[in-house]
Amino acid sequence: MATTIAQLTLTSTDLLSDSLAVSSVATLTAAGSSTGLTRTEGLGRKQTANTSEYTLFDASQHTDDKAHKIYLKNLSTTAAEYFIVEVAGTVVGRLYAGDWAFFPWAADTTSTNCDVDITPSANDMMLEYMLLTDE
Amino acid sequence: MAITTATIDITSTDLGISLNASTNLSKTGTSTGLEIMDAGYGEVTVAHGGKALLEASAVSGDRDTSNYFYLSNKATDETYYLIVKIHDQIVGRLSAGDWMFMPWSQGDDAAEISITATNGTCAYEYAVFKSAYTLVDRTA
Repeated sequence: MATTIAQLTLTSTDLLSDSLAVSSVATLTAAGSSTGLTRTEGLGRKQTANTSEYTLFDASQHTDDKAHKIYLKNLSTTAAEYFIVEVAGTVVGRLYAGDWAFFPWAADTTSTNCDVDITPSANDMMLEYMLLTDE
Repeated sequence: MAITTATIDITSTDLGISLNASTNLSKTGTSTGLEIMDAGYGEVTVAHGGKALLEASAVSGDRDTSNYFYLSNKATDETYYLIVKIHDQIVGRLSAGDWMFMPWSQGDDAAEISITATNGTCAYEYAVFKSAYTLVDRTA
């Protein structure tokens, strides 16, 4: 059983009148159990050629409702450049230059096609990605 | 200008992972730091059904801008999930003890973030960081 730890740290000394220091640590486990995740796709990087929409993770290639976790990072250094991130055709957010995201993914193909798609705002952008899973 | 830093570390000796990424949360398309934050803690039960955790705003100036949210499921029973939806679309199931951090575009009024507990009572912790926010008019 693999032990995989994901830790988030949010810090700021000047956002509020008191220092912000949030830390959250998760030991990533399989769905409904204490068994550790067993597989990854990535860590990898993908380069986009133009501003078309790309499918990053195809839900039909994965099992519904497992403990999938997705990590994304926009490797651009141009502040205005972003990736639109969609799940099942719904825009969830814009990932701007240097930003990262980490979120669970249902990979549902029963009620909807839960692909994860990205649309870059400029040509020739680079995205770093990883899927952690128990399937 | 505030400097707020979000850092992720993912480590697994078994899977050969040692990942670190850090970013300063900035206003839309700039390197100017975000200055607006909201945070809280609560509980949601199965009986509650789906609850809006963060409502999208129709009148604030934060549409399609850089917003980020953090959510943690504080339940300890491994069968207690939070189903997380954005715009009524399931993004994923947040297991007990897990957290998520991602951008959030309030593209329209319906782009709310909602949570549903699948078992028992799930305590949760959240924070949202925004580029801009304008208070809505009071209800007369």
